[in-house]
Amino acid sequence: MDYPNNFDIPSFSAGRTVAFSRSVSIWISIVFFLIIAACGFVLLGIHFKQNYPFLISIDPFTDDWSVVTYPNEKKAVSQYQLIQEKLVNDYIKNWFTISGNNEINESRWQECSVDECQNPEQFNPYNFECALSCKSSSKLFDDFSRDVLPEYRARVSQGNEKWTVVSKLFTNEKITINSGHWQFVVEIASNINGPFKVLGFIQIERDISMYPATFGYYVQDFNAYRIPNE
Amino acid sequence: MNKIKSFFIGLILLITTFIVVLLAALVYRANERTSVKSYIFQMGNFANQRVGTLQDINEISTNDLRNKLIKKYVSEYFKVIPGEADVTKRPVLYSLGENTFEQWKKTEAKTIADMSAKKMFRMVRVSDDGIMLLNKQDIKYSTKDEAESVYYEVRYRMATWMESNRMETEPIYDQGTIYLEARFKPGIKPGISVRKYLEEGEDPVGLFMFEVTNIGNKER
Repeated sequence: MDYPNNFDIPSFSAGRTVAFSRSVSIWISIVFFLIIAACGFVLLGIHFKQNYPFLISIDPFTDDWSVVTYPNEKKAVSQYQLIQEKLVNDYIKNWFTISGNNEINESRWQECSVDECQNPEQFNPYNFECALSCKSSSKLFDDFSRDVLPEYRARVSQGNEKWTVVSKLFTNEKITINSGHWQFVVEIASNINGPFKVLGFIQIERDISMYPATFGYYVQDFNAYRIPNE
Repeated sequence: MNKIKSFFIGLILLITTFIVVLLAALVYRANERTSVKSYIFQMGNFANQRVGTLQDINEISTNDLRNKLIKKYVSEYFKVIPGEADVTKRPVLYSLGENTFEQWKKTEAKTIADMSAKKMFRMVRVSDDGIMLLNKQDIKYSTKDEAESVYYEVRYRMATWMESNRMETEPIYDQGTIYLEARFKPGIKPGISVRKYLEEGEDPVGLFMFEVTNIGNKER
């Protein structure tokens, strides 16, 4: 049947007109629908056209190539990464600070037992009591006391040298819930020898029973090297 | 008959409505997702390491990119990081030269492992002047599939710190020459989605068509 044209029914003379207007209205609806659909596709197109830039940077010191990207699910910062970062930050500050007040220095460098370290103050960045001992593995703290501390004490007693950490810069590699490898570059200002740069590596491990004040995280290994001024 | 017709018309209307609702939902989603991310938080402040302007890959000259890859290779070849668990796991070195990796394991890896265990640290520097072409005056980068092998003479400088955590320790400087046979073609490896590759945390070095195929004798 030829629908809108051949729709003459004797009993209903307006049939053709009605059929025609119905067809037109259906076509209008279809066109309207297509317009809406097109709008939707345009917006979808915009959605897929979002461009996120990737930034590849080359470290002048270590020749490492790193990528900075937008925050996605894989790159989200986890709690343990933040806690480790905080530990690294505090640890570097405590390792490289030599105060003008020797009592503070000795307090920072003293060794504390596990019981003494069970103190929530250990997570306070301004706390310096046992700041190194409570966050280091026992081997690392022994190495510090044996190799580094005499040098620090000599600096204090011979020339009243003071060290302040001016700027810190660290990158993280291989972070898991139980460990982390960090690399840092810090600039230290000495009141006698001027500023100098230090590049170093930190390895973090986790043992909840021994280091409860820092959520179990402690510094397993710390290696730093002074970069000669060019 | 009329009832069947109106049933089908009703059905078509229902389907149409459903499609419109679906489209509206997609439009809503697109609207929500299209946003400019004006603030990006970063873990550390790397800004002072990133001096200079940002450059698009097409703005970097071919030779510059090639030199950067050579520097990266030489740096990976000799660098020593203290307390490295397994020095033979150097995915970047492997991806830049599969053929030479075994040779590296036999020659350099043992020394590096010893130094790493002793908490020594070694940094390698190659300056742009230190990379020289051998035998060829001018490279023409072909657009063919297979890139041509070119020989390079690379002069490097190494700084080695013999012990860690001693701030009075000065590094020992050393220099040497290494001969590389390498294939390089400008551009990014075909059939690789840069976005996916980088999102998966792979090293960006692997994106480029650079491969060291042979290592010559080196003199110190």
